[in-house]
Amino acid sequence: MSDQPVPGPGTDHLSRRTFLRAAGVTGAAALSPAVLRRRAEAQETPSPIRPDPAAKRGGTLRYGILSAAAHFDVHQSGTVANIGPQSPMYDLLIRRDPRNGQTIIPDLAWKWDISPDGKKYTFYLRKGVKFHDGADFTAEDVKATYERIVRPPKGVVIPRSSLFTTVGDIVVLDPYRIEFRLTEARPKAFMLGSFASGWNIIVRKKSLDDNQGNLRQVMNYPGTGPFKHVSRQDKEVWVMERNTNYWNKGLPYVDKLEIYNLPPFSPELGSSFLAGKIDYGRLLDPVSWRKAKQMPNVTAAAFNQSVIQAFWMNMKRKPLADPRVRRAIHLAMDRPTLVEVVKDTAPMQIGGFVYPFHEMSTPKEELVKRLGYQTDIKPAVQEARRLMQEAGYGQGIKGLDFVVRDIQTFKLWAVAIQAMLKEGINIECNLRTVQTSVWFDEAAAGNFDLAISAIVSSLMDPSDYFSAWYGANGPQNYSGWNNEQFQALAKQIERELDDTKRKAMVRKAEDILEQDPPLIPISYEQIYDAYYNKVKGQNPSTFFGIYDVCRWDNVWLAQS
Amino acid sequence: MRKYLARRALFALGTLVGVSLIIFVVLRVLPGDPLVAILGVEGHARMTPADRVRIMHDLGLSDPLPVQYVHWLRDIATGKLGKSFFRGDTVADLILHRGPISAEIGFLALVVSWLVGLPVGIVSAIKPNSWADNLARSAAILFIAIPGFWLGMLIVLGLLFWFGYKSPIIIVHFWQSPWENLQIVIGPAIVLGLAQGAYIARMSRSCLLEVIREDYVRTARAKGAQERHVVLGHALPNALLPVITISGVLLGFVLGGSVAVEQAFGVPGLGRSLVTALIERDIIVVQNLVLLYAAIFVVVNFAVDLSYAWLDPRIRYA
Amino acid sequence: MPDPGRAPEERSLLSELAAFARRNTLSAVGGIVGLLIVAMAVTAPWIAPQDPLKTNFRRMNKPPDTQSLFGTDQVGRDTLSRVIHGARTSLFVAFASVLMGTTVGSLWGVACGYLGGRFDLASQRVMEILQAFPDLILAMAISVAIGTGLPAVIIAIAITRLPFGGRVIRSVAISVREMSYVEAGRASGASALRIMRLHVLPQCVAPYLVLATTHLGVAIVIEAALGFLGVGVPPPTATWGNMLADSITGLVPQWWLVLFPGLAITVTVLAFNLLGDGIRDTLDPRLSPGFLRLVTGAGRSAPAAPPLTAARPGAAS
Repeated sequence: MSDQPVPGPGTDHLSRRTFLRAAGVTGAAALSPAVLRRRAEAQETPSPIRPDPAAKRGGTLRYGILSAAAHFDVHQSGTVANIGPQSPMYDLLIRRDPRNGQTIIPDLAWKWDISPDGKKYTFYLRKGVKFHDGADFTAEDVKATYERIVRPPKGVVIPRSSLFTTVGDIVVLDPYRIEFRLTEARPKAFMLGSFASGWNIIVRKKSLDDNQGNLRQVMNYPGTGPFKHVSRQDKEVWVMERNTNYWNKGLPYVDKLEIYNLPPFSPELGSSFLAGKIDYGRLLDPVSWRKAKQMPNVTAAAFNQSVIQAFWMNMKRKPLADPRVRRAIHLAMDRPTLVEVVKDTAPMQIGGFVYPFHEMSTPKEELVKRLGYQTDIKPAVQEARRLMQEAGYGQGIKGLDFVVRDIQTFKLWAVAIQAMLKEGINIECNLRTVQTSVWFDEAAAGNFDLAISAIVSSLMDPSDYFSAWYGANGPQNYSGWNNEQFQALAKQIERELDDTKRKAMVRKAEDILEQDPPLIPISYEQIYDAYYNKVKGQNPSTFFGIYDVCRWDNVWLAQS
Repeated sequence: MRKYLARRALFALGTLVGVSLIIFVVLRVLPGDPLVAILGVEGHARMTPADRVRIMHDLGLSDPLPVQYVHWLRDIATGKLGKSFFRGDTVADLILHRGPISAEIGFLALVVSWLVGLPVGIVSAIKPNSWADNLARSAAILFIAIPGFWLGMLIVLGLLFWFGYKSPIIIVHFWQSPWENLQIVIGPAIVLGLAQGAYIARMSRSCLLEVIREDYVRTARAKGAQERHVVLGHALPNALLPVITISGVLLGFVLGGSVAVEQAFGVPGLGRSLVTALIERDIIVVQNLVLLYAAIFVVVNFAVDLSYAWLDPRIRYA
Repeated sequence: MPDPGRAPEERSLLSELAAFARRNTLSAVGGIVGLLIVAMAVTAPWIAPQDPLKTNFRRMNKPPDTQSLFGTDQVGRDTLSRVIHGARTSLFVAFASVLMGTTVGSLWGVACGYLGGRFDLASQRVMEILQAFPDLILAMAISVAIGTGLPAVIIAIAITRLPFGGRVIRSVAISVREMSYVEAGRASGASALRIMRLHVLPQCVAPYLVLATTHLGVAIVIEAALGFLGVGVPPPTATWGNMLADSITGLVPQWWLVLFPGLAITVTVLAFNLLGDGIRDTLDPRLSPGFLRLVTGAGRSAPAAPPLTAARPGAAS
């Protein structure tokens, strides 16, 4: 059933209505094109996600994911502990197609226009959409949502703000049309990707107004999404039910969603899945995943994730300020072994300074031929030693303070890295394991020489993390790194609208980073999903990360 | 007796106040920034000093320490057990939801300890140095030495490995589904109960042995009473007194030990909440939970005092 | 029972030990095992087959075999070496904390018992407050507050041992104070310090030893529990608790990473507990459950069962 704009309740178009009624249902359907043609400009098209007639309805989907978040404000969050459980209750302006996780398709905005100069993005919004509390969805809600994302109020910190730095005015043209006016053009893929990011859920203007623009302590602020909040037990389970008034008629299929809090790579998650206590498990550990793969009625999928595991070097410490020393450290890493060390703990893959699976970055087959990424580390270590000699540290460096986050993967890696540094280039460091909150204290205060952690980006597009991770004042530039050449290039990459030129620039930027490393990349995480075959409609193999496709609107259960 | 009780009650209250003071001071010295967990890693990185001051103020963390302390006591007195820094969940909800599980574990552990410990102790005392006695004493010593959380790990692994069994993942209270609820609490209860039982077996054995030597027991024997009657009728009641006391102390072991054992079994009890809160620097939750544990300990021991006062004629008729 | 027919001073240390072993075989075995473990801890750097911190990327996650008797962990470190070195850390923490806690507590107890008055009353309250916290929780909170690290853990556990020493020694001190010869000494003008040194302290040695050995096992378990929960001695130092915590990766940990550290803890605690039992039985065979309760911390309230020792149950206050 398509969302045809029909005369609203207030208008009195008796003749048309009678005519339509007289013509009968099929007649009305046949007449739709005529109606459409008459109102040429704003005819809503339905979502490309249509209900599958073969799909069965009903049932409860039991889903295991980390859902022990520190607060409830999805915009302010950067962890799956928020987006995982909360995403089913909200929609976006535009979204990634849940069938492949890549293509950008309409969501609350059924159409969008981009001006030829790339500075105006106009979104056409669906009519008749209701929030869970019954309120109407209008452009004012989109404006309020995005005003907060682009220009957060005091005390509110939103990691996606940096994606929208060139957004100037957000103008409500009419209740169902909204326009974003950029001060500077940006590559289309980048901007659209930013709007489609799963983090940018649309919330009610009233929710923001009532809570001073801060939703951290508000558990149930209304959304327009396919599921509604029912109940929640902290750190255990969040129960949601089907939104019978969902704008995408016919969806969702399942009646109830039970989201269980099961931490990533934990034995609880693995054993709960294998024992059949959940139907779908995300972020499984490799051992459970391999076991699940062998089960006859289970599908085990692996896909990419938008997280880099790395360690930083405090450039205020004299030896570490020298790029030759840093490159030596970079080359001394035996990356295949590092991936191997955690092979039973978490799934990882080799990568450099840019996502190895992004179309613009050096592809993996080329990467593994490069010094520092090879299986045989001897040539790399040789070069590393030469660099240390040249920089005047042929004797090595002693007493570096290596701060480690208290998580299994980092603890294992720290021990391995310590050994590699010692054997390769005679750098001795002392491991200091601290709780996560203490780690960030130390990192912010510069109380470290080396520090290991993981950081996230919203988009695969380099412009996102080139500023956040490598930008001169980037919030995750823990090393305090700067390279004029790189920053200039990054600015160009941001603005370049031609894809081929942009790709060449990204490669050049990579080369700069290889020679003057701002951090030492260890690996890139992979996501292991496993689900019983009764769960249909999900195909995560081509997903990028777990933040964009987690709404469960097109998933159904083969048996209730 | 009343004066004795009144004095003990006063002391109990004083102890609680002292406990609260110590907790408060210790926790305010905690290193680590709670704002990391609240704002999330990304948000924390982008926080300005002005933001920080404002958020700390909102959380009530920037008042002078004595003021914070008084506010805290006042909140507890009025039943407001505070909110977690995160999510706005109240500590009261946490206690009401998870408390029953931990309480069940404690109660079942106590039952197990008495059911196992007392008979073993009695048998040992009746036939000292027999093979049964030696077996019992060896077992007791062993169970005291085995770390509860290790035993818990082994049990969980064994169940998973050999039976593919995983206990329920969310809390099910006894009144909701008894069978599932028991599955959650039985593991920790048995582990803790056996360790407690070992202490009780030893204690009751030595108490019984000592009392059995006493004159009045000799008299009873001389009168021709059977050994069993002697033990049960005369020795046992007197030996029970110290065993009751030690159960009070063992409660302390259970409360403390339950934290690690709950972690090992993956039971979502209060103990785990405490550990998580400590790691996340969720100061309000830690404060109130630790106070709760200490309060339980103090109250139970006061109850032990009460039972003493009632059972021990020297106090009852004082 | 003292060896009849021979005055105590005439027996040599060796024959005393032999008598002890004959009477309490189990305890003697415990003592020997304990001694062996201590010896192992002390000589760890020499007897451990490998460096416990040394990684070996070619032998990761290997089950026990001829090269690594206890297997290797996720980064190829030899488990046997780590267990041996773990003894070092765990025992060091246990001994240091028990020594510190019991000694400071005992000195405090002596002061209370001898000085009496307001100092005593106030100290009693503080000790009661300390004992109101469950062991592990108090240690956790302190260790996290003063920053994790070896010294922090030692101090945290030591603080939990204070009240025990305080109460037991206090009762000893009180009873000694009231003995007539001490009164006589005081009357003749001997200083408090001299009296304490000459009369009180010798009487405290036996209870002190009993206390120390009884609590050694507890301290080891607390340290391991702290390590298991992730708030103990921080990695990469090998302690038995850390090793148990680190063994949990993925679904089912490697059995050798779980079995051996846990077994080490059990055997060590068993040994010291047995030793402690024997020492307690020997040093004061007349020890009543009342005294036992004091030592284990139970007798903090009402008058206990009829006291059979000179030590008055330390509740009257």
